[in-house]
Amino acid sequence: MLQQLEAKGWLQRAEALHYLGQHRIEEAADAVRALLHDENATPWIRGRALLALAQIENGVAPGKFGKWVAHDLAALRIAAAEVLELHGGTPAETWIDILLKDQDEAVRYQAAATHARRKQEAAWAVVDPLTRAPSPRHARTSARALAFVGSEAALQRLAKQLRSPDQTRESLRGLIDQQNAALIPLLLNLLSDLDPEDLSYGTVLTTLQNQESQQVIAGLATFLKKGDEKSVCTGASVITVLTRSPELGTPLREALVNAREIKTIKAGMIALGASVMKPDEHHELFTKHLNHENSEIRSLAIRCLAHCRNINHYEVLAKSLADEALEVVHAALSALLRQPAIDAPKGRLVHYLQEPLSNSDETVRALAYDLLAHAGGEADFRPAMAALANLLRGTDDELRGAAAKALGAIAPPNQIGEVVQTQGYLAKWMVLGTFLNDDKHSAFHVIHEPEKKIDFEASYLAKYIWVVQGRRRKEDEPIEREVQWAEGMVDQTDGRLIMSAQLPPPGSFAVGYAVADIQVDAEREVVLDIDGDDAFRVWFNGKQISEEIAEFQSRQDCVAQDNDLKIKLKAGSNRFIVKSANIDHRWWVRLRLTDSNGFPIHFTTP
Amino acid sequence: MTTPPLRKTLIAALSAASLLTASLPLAQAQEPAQAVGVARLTPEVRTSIRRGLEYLAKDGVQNPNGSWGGSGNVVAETSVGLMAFMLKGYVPGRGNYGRIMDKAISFLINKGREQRGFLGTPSNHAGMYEHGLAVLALSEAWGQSKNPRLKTTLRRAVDIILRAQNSEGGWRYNPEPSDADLSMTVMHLVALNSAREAGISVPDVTIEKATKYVLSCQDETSGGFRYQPGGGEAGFARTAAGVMSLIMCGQRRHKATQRGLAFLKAYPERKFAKNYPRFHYSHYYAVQAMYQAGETDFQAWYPKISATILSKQEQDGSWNGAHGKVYGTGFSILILGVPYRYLPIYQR
Repeated sequence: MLQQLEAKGWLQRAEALHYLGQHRIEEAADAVRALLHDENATPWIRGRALLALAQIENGVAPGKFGKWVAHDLAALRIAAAEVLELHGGTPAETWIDILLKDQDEAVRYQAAATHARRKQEAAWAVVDPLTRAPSPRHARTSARALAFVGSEAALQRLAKQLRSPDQTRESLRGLIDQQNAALIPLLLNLLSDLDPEDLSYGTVLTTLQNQESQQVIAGLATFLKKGDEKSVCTGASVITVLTRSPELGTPLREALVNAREIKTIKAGMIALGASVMKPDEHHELFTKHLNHENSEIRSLAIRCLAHCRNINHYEVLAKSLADEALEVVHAALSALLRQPAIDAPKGRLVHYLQEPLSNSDETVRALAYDLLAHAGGEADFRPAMAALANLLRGTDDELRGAAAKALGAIAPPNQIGEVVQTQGYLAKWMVLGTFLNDDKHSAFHVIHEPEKKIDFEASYLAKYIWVVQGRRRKEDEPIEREVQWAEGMVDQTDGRLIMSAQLPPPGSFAVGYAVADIQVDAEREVVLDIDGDDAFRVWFNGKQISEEIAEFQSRQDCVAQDNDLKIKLKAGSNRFIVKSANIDHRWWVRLRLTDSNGFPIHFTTP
Repeated sequence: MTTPPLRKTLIAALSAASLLTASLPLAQAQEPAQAVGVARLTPEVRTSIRRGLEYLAKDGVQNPNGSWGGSGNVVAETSVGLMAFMLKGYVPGRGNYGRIMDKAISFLINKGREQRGFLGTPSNHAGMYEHGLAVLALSEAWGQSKNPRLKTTLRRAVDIILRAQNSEGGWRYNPEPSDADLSMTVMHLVALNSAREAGISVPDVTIEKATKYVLSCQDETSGGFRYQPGGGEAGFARTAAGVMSLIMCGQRRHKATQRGLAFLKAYPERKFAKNYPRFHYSHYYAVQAMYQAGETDFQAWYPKISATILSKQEQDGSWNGAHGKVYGTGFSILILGVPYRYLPIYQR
């Protein structure tokens, strides 16, 4: 700041002086004094230096200060009057008397404000004639003087001055640092006439913020009692922006009873709906507005109710789910997603969500699926499956995925396979592994016994090596263990058979086998999509039909794909054998059967 | 005659008593009345545990204020030392070691009084570990100790744990809800479960959230557990801790638990080596996990780990550990003595 004091721009210098004075930086006293005496500096900056110096020194030296009161430059005399607002004690009154008679009007105004601060109502005789018709140039000091006087007459004049368009901003500048309860109603009244975009709106809020908070709360409570739309709207906005005091909840709610304007109701509900305002105390008001004719109000009421803790949201918001306005349905579903699942109507959730689940809007449906997943339970699975099965059998991959995810979240573990299979994925497998692989997939080209003959009763001696996330210790050698066929079920609703979860650890440097048998009634051509991480080879009814090896990247997904394979299923049983290999990271494989139009085909498993 | 603690300890003692043969060996007649029916412990293991406890009870090993150790983890070492005695069925205030145990309990309770409920060493980076271990030790002592301040101390200490759970459900180095890691989370999950057994109220949701955190640390590929979700390599010690905590939370049949157990079993034999990193920490959890996993797994595991521990015992009856002799001795006894089942957390 001391460096900034030497800046060329007046704004930087003024800012530095303000800071140094406010914080009483004693080390800066010499530099500030030098600036005060610098005749090359502008008079105004020198005046700011005088003020800062008095703040730093916390007073004035009686023997030296008189020269500033009598200085040739008006800016320095104004600054001297400002200093005397706070410093100088009783002896200062002589100087103030001199300044009140100054030839310069601006000096007289500042001197009047200083006098008023010291004498309050007793200063009216001096302030009254000066402030009857102040020019905009003196509005700041005039307002300041009137506020310090604080009598009814002075405040009435101040109110009038504040409403004078060419004086509003300057008047507010004079009040911004004044802590004076009498100003609160004036400011609130002024605020209700100002546009929030108006620069003065923010200044009024700042001035209110500088008041003692309990007095602002008391002032707001009184202000709300006026009951007119404008006052209620303003009061609510101030509560939201400034106080958020729960004790204002009841006065505001009572004031809102007769509110009709959308703007007022919105401001009121925004204020009352905040968590700190104890929204539970106002839930009846919010609930009433669920039936408001304006959809914006209805959705706002829902958002306020979402903050209430002591209501059953599922009961209160049931009707809103069928609202004609999408924003209302959105708000209701979003609110329910934030509530404890325990309140949801278990076993009846699908019925409860009937409207949004069949809504034509995709985002509404997606929210409904999310809610089903969030609040549903196993008891909801069957009805949900019935309601969403068409999506699982559809060709819209995004909707299918969302529905499957929701169903997966509520499905009993042994029924996830049904969600998987309905989408056309092969869900039920026999799995075997692991056989030793290396970091070049060498074992992918080794023919192991299961490739020669599938015997689910057989067991094999196989080796594994302890490699976790690509890290292998030099001393670790391959270890032998017996491996056997075991049942494996896809437990991911996206159809992935996680090989590493089905087979013994560690799942790295490994090869495994998976076999799926499916049955169809009649011969038919189908499309097979295969993907997996890292590598797969697939045989269909004894014939190899696919082989893909993804390029290996350490500790990353390495996904190989082979899509749109045309195969002919024979009537009866058909067998898919998959050889899958992994180096590190994720290890999975996925097979899906669809018809030529992309719809999943129906098949059964033995 | 000693009074067995309530809760599961009583059940365990009763079931253990049913295995009694008509006559007890003479050596056992000198031991606490509960120390009966322990079929699996070989004479070598019994002797080893006895020598270890004798070391802890030696003059000069326990500090005058009732604590053990002094390397900066004094609360942890005291907690482990105390549990080592309880493991064998010794009861505070009674018998040969009653006074020693009473003093250790008083030390921990005084810590809580001095530190507004916090039991760890404030200057210790691992102070929260100590806090968790102390809650575990005091919870296990509940029902045995007659110290009237024990329950209040436990309540306040548990309250600190409850308030320090972060939004993911875990705990870490500071007693406040900031970040989390598996190791610290398991420590507090075990402590909370034990406190619950002692009758301290612990909300279900706390356990559920912590369980979710532990599950989120599992590595999809290997089935082992990592230090944090999505971060770090799955390791033996972390997996042992993760599996043990899941079992304690009633998730024995959970696929994640089963995969974790498979990870522990498939891990190379170097896990049993004398110099295996974090030996005591790893095997303290691993042996409990295997004990809880079932007879077959435990029978395959216990002889190997007990053989290693016996081979590490010093002439004076102690074991060296990563944080000193008391730490090493206490944990070695806790690992060797799992079949004793006198600690509620050791019961199936």
